[in-house]
Amino acid sequence: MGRSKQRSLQLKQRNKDKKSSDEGQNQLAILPPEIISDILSRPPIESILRCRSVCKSWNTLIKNPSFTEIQLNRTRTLPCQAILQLRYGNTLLLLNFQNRTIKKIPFKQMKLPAHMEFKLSGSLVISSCNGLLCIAPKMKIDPVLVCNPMTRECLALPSSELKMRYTSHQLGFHYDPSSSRYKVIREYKYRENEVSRFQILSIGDSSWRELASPQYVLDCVFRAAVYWNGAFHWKIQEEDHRRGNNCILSFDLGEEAFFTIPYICQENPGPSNYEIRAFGGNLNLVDRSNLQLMRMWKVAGNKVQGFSICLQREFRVCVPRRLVSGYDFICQPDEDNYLLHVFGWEPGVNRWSLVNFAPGGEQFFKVWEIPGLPAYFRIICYKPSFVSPIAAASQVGSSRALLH
Amino acid sequence: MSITTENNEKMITLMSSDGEEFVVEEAVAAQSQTIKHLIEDGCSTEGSIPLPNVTGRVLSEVIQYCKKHSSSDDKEEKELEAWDAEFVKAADDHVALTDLMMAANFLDIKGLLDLVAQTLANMITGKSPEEVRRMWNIKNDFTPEEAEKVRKENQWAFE
Repeated sequence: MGRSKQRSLQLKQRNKDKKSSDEGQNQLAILPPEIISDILSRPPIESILRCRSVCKSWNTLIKNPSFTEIQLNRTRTLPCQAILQLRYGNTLLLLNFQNRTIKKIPFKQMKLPAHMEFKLSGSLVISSCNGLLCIAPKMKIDPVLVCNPMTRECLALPSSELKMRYTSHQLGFHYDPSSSRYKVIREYKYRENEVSRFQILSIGDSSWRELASPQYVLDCVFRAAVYWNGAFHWKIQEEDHRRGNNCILSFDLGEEAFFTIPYICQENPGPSNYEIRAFGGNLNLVDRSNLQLMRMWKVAGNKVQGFSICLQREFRVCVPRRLVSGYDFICQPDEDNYLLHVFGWEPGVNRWSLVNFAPGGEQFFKVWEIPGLPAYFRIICYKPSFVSPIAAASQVGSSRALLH
Repeated sequence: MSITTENNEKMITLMSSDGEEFVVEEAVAAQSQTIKHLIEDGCSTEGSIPLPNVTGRVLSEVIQYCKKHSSSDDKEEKELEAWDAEFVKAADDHVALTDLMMAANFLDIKGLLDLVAQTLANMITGKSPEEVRRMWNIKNDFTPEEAEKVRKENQWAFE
């Protein structure tokens, strides 16, 4: 009964407030703000940004943190888009997978912290999460930036305080729902074939924390740690993992604890010369040991029951020889399709292409025709949002202050 | 006192703000969480549920939607999607979509709310601020300086 009473009260209230929706009046003004937010959270990001110019109330609504939340939740069910970084220059490109169009986002308009020199051309876009990008310099360790290219807000992370020269480092960036914090983890080593060291930063904290880690030699490539199922994953160097029988080192982001995935495999031979990639909801080992065979292995199981590696798909002689010089998996839009980033698709033409690979379909490979696609680019899966890196860092400070 | 049909379906009467009465199966009306709760709370003993902020024209559209969605099961998802698209197109000719949206919100019919919100969102997609304002008679209340500032902040989205 209580509920219906409340409803009829609301109802009277709305009747009173209700304006006529006759022509000549703002028809949307009859809708309560939460419904306008619902509508405005649905179009592609450029349309939402243009809507900020429609009127003051829409501008205020879109800038509100609760709108950010609604729009972010909506993107969870949407297919991803991508951010492309050109080899040169200060521009990022937003690639819409659905209508295959590209929009330029000038990086020089980013709101960098005062007195900060930062050139995109000297940096790499490492990874993305919730519409934020983690960007790191190519030749140095610091500074690492977390920025939202849609709102142009940038946050520079504190210095790593690493003094010595390093030979490699890999970053991982992701949101940790258990602590409601964004976290960045850095793997680094001073000499080749040395065991990896780790440090972690929760965004908003003033310094990095060194982590005590198991003694493994990781594959050294300047890449992002692979995030899957609440943890970061690194490939243990194959030489090393055969000795120790573990092939993947993992770090649970919530518990902040390391664990390993053993090289247990029913097939013989097992995967070799592989890279780890997260797509299609799984952690996969993409095996390139045989040039005429693309083998995809899946990490099955979990931390409690144990892991194993099983052969998931095997595509015989389906990789044209000319592709072998360079290709990478970007994502798996659905069960039957993979999107590849391929170098030199046309013989003699040195450029990167985006190629749809459908191993079960009639057409194995289909090159995506995208007007304005540059010749050289990095590609990162990305879902545009309004999440503020500055707010993510400062909220921590304020909740801390409350605790003390 | 509720009426039952030959098929023994329980019927209830919905009354719009302008006094129009609609007799519908309870299962159809219960697509609306608001009506469902009113029935559960025993508010339909008079045999009629007043809906004082939904007009007859809008209610008739809403009932059409509820009828279709209470008789279809999940297997017909594709067909239902096509029906929804047709429905919202036809409804747009009879009532303001914003009124339909208000009704869906008040009656708490998630599917309809989603359908109309997506339709309105699609109308915004790709349009300039001027076109959006014209479409819904929204007044531009920015000063020229403010307008310039907001536009500059999002310049890339206009290119």
